[in-house]
Formats: sequence, structure tokens, C-alpha cells
Amino acid sequence: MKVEGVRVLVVDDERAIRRFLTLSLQSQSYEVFEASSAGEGLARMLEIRPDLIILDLGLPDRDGREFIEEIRSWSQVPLIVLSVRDREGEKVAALDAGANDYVTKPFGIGELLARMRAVLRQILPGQEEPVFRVGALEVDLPRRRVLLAGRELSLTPTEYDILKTLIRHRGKVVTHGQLLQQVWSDAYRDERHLLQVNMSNLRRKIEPDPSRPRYLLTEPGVGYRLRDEE
Amino acid sequence: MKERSAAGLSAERILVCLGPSPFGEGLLQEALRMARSSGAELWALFVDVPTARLDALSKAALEGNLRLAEELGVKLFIRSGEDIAVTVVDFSRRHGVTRIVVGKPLAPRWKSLFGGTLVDRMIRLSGPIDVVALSRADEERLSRPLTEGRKKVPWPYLEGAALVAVATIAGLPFSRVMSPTNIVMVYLAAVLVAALFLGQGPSILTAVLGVLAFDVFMVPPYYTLVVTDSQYLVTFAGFLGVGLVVSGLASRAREQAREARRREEETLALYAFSRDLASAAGRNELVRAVTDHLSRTLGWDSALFLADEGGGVIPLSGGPTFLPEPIVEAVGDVFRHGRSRELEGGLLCLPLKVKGRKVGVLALAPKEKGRSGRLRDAFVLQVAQALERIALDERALAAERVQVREKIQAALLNSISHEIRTPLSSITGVLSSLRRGEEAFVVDGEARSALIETAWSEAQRLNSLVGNLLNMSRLESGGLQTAPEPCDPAEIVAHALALMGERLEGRPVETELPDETCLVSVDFALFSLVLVNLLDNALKYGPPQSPLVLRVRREGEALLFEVLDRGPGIPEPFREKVFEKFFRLPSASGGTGLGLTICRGIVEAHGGTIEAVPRQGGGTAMTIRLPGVIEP
Repeated sequence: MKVEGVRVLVVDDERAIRRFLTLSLQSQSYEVFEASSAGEGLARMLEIRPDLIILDLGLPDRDGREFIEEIRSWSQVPLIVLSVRDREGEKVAALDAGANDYVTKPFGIGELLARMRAVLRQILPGQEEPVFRVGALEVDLPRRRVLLAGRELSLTPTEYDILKTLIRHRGKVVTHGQLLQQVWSDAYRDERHLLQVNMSNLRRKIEPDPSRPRYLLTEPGVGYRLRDEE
Repeated sequence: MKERSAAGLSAERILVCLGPSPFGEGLLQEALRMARSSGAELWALFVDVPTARLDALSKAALEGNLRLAEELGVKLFIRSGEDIAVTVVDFSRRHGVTRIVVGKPLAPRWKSLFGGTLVDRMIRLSGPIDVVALSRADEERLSRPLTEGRKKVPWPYLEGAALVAVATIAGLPFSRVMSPTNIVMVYLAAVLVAALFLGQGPSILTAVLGVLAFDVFMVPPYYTLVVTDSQYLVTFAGFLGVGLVVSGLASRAREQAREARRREEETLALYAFSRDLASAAGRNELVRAVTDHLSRTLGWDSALFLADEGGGVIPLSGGPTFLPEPIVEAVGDVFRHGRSRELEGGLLCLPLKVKGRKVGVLALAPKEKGRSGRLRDAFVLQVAQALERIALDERALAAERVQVREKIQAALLNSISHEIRTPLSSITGVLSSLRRGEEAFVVDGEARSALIETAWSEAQRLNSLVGNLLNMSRLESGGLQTAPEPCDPAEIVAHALALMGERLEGRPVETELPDETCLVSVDFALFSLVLVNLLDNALKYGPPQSPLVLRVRREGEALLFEVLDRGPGIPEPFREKVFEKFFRLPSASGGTGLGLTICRGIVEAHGGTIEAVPRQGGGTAMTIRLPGVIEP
């Protein structure tokens, strides 16, 4: 994927983090802009029209979730949240408010770059392939066939729908609520154990070792992510 | 008299009358049986007769009976009164008692002058209240049905008239042989008796009737009101005058006796009140003691308001909720100005002060007027002092807690500074050699990536240490909140292994999962942390290259998580102690002594248990048992 000239706005009140992100992203040929508060971030958004925003939730002047909602009221620019660990509730709230993904602090730059690519894939011209492949897993969407190392698996319709939903958002986190809503319906948004049981069964089918999942990754307290890069 | 319903708590309330009877135990037991069978509440009452003298034996019996009542959990009341029957019935009406239970073989002094035995009098007075008299063998029962109504008879006046009749009959034989003026003394005696025992009205009646009877029966011409000798008119006037003075004096003496008795009652109530307040351990107990006593001794509803930090007052829980919002505001007003105030509807708001400092407000809703303000003031003072005492207790406790916390913090800082410095020094070490690498000596590619790898894993370690410290402080402050939701154990294991990441440094971890899909309700992130801590320990204490085992299995309705290592094992005396804060095995090097404490805190917050069990073939099996497996 070509990311040259993609404009990234980093909104974080920690100078060290901004500096680290700027250097790292510039070395990947992103064009990087910085803001240290929500107010400044908003001003810079209007000024530079970024293609991607990296937003720290713990800003001094605004509640992160509110800020995301405000941005979403007038812009669909891809947005990745940076958050410190053990605030799952906040992560889910940020995702529900319209963030496209999140990265937990402390983080490795490799992880952040992968999330950025997954999010950017939405807006950059790319071909929607009918067959999804990662590792030994192959999903032929038009034929509704799932193969693991060339061997066809038999999935229940629910399990297949879960997989299909995750493929649609490949590489990005899908919250429990979103999965339940899209696979079942709105009325099932809180039926977590339904999702858990089906996910557990799905893992037993497509993961060689369910205690070390390679494809269906858990985002604790938030949801699931389908790996899309080896 | 106002009828008081039993606040809708229980339809029936039985009152058992206790005295110095040696059969009190049987009486209590029978009353208890009665209460249980009808689902009624049982109260006990002892009427203290100030003029009655008890011998040592009776005193012992009385004390035994009262103690037994308290032991049986019966609510015990003590009232003082000259007339037991009146006091008991009065009490019963006031407190919504539906049935009175008394013992039948009664001491002779309990017989009143004219009214027959106590039981008879009680039945006569009780109105709609049932009176049950139990004989010693519990065989004979005298009971008055609920429905029988009765007319009120002015007994004391009839008794006064009877006294005149008695005096007349007594005086008649002497009237013909003695001067009638001497016989006046007999009538005066009757007036005196009436004044002493029947009150002022009846004694005046007795005096008037006495004069008439004297005139008719003792003064010639007999059986007519006509008086021939006018000097008897002087006798009449003298008799009437003396009779009225005597009745006035006697009734004043009665008043004084009654006042003394009331004062004694108040002292008793105050004593019981202060005793209960002194033993009240916290605010809630205090509120209960205050409201309970005020309603029992004065028949008043009450509510306590305490000063809060913001300079206002907050209502304390436990009191009755009879206060609507505007009254709460008025209470705040009373508190700010420090002056008592009577609101509409007779609600009294009294500021509570100790040494001029405002501590709260006591709101009272009097059931009846005219109870002594002196008693009320004494109660208020007691409440204020008790509040102050409890506030002081709390302050002392808080100070003690602060001290303990400071000690723990000091120990914590000592133990963690080492743990933080170790990874930090590796990281700075790596960074410094990389910085110098460019100029001083060339670090080749392989050495470079090895250095970076070290720094990376040390940074990870530092991060998990910070996580542990955070959780520890949450455990300490009671702020560790679990958000349990159905989780797949395989997912928990997977996440724990992912968190361990590079710290495993290639050490093999064998995992065993249950064959069937099952879920368990836990806080995913916190519970994964428990497994990470256990794996960390297993890694540290097991011999290098020895595989770790992480096993999840079902045992009935419980799910077991086991982390097994081949380390030196934990000696028996330390198997419980390893979960204590800051405890480190003597053989251990480093560590904060917090990991297992956090594990136990989290596991117990989930209703589970964790223990260190010796593993077969050497090593330790850390075993977590979580109840309540959810079948899919």
C-alpha cells in the first residue's frame, strides 16, 4: 500500500509521544502534523484536512469520547484512538462513538502501523478480493467455502456469519456489540454468552491451537480482530 | 387515650407482665409459645411499685425473670407505677398491645383495696384488649373476648360513697350513747382515706356525703335533714371545712408522689438511654438507639441529622421517614442558626451542640403534649454527646488507618524501588551502548538486535509491574471493581499467553483445555492478569528450560485453572503465607511480594479460591477454583 503523502494528525498532550510518532511515521513517508489538545486538534483538522487522525483519549481540555462524537458529526476521517491499558469501557465507548480502531499504550510502532494500514485500506483505492487469505486460512466468499490448509471446514451459518463480518472489517477491531448486532440483530446486543459460545466453537474449528489463536484475536473487554497480515 | 397501631409490622403484639414470681420462667415460655403460634411480637413489662418492698428472695427471682426475658430476645420494658393494673393497661393501650398475659397466683400486695385481684382489675380496665391469666400449671385460663364492650363506671366516686356508708354503719351503734360531735371523727377518717386513695374529687364527694349522712343519721331529729339545735350547723361547717382542707392536702401529697414517680421514671429512661448510647458502636446503631428510646419512653417519632463537611446537615439512615422535603430544609435552617424551632404540626427541631460546636439536629414529632421539657433537654444533651463521642472514635480510627497506610506505603516503596530500577538500568544500559555505538565501537547487527530485544522485554516487565502496583492500590482501597461477563476459558488462556509474550523467552508452555465448550463468568482482563502473575512466578522459580503447564479442567460445577511448575516447591509452613502482602520466600531473590496477594484478591473478588498445592513429582501446582460454570 502506498502511503506517501498521506496526512496524519497526531493529537496527544505528551510531547515525547508526539515526537516519537512524528519521527517514526515520517520514516514511513507519512506526512505528520501535531496538536497537543483537542482545541488545537480541531483547528489543525480544518487547516490541513488530514487523511488519518491518531487521538489520545486523555486530553487535558476535552473528554475523548465527546471529542470523537463531535468530529463524527461532520467528518468521516479515519480515526485511531491511543489509550492506556485497563480502561476497556472507555475503549468500547470510543469505538461506539465512531473511532475506527484503537491502540493500547504502551505500544510498538509495528502494531500502530498495521492498524493504520487496515484503516486506510477503506479509503485508498484497492480491490475487494472475493477470496480472503491469511496464513493457512482461506475463505471463498462467493462460494461460502472455508478452507484450512486446503481442507474444507463445515461451519454453522452463525459461525460463517461471524467470520464474514470479521473479514469485512479485516485487521480492525469489531466490538462485541457490533458483532452481535450485525450477525444476530439489534435485540441481541447484550447477549454476550451467545457470541462467546459461537466464537469458542469457531475457534475450535479454524484455530490449530485455540489457546494460541493465530487468526481470531481477542481484544480484551472490547471485541475481536481478524488477523489480515502475517 | 390515643390508640397506637403497631406500625403495621405485626398484627398482634403480646405483652407478658413480669414480677418477682418464682414461676416467671414458665410464664415467659408459655407467652413465647403463644406469640410464636400466632405470629405475634412478644414484649415484656415489669411494673416497679415504688412503695413495695421486696425481700432478697423476690429480688433474685425478679432479676432472674428479667434476665431470662432479655436472653429469650423479648423486648423488655420497665415502668414505675403505684397501680400495676392501671400501668399495664395504660402501657398496652399506648403501644398497641393486643393481648396481655399475666401469671395468676399473685402476691397479696397486688390486691387493691376494693377492686379484687390484679387480674380482675386488669380485665375490668382492659377494654378491647385480651387478658390471659395463666395459672401455675398453665391449666386455667381466664380470658375476655375481644368484642365485649363495657361502660365506664366512676369507681372512685362509688368507693367514696361506700366509705361514707361504712362510716355510717360503724358510727351508728355509738350515735345514741355518745355526743354526735365525736362521731364526726369517723366521717373525717373516711374523708382522709378517700383523699389518700381516691383523689381530690371523690374525697370532696365523701366530705359532702359525710356531712349529709352525719346530719341524717347522727344528729337528732334522726332520718331527716332538719336540724333543731343550730349549734350543729357550726359542726357541719367545721366538718366540711376540715374535710375539704384534708382532701386538698392529701391530693397534693398524691400529686407530689406522682411527680416523684414520674421523675423516677424519667431518670430510669434517661439511664437506659445513656447506657444504650454509650454502647452504640457507630452512627447507625446510635440512630437506632435514639429513635427506639424516644418512641418507647416518650412515644415520639424522631430523626437525627448530622453535620456534614459542607456546613449543612444530612439525615442519618435508620430513622423513620416521616419528614417531607420542606421540613428537611427547615432542619438545615435550625442547624445554621443554632436555635430550636417548632414547625407547623408540632414538629420540634432542636440543635445539638457540644461545647458550643454544632454537631447536628434532632427532629421530634411529639405524640402528646405536656411531657417535661427537662427530660427532652436531657435527651438532647445525651444525643449530642454521643454524636461527639462517635465522631471522635471515627477520627481516632481514621488516624490509625492513616498510620497503617503510611507504614505500608513505606514498605511498598522500599520493595518496589528495587524492582523498578532493575529493568530501568538494563534499558538505560542498552540505550547508552547504542548511543555510543555509532562513534566509539561498532556494534554489529546481531549484537544490536540482541541489545534492543533485552531493552524491549525489560520495558514490558516494567509495564506489567506498574499494572500490578495499580491493582494492588485498588485492592488496598477497596476500589477493585470486577466486571464479570461470560468468558471462554480458552480465550483467557490465550490472552494470558499473549501478555506473557517475549517474557517466556522460548520456554515451552503446555496448555490443556476442557473438551467441551463451557463459559465462566469472570472479569476477562483482571483474570488474565492472575494467570500472567502465576506464569511469571512459575517462570522465575522453575529450572530453566523446564516446561510450564497451564491446565483448565472442569470439576463438577467448578472450573479449575492450574499453573504447574517444576521448581523447588513451597515448604508447607509458607503455603498460606505466600499470599500475604510483601511476603517473599526466604529462598527468593527479588520480587515485590505483591503478585500472589493480587492474585488472591482478584480470585476472591470472583468468589473463587486459590491455593498452592505441591505438585506430584516435584514443584508447585497453583490451583484456582471458580464456582459456577455456565453451560452453553
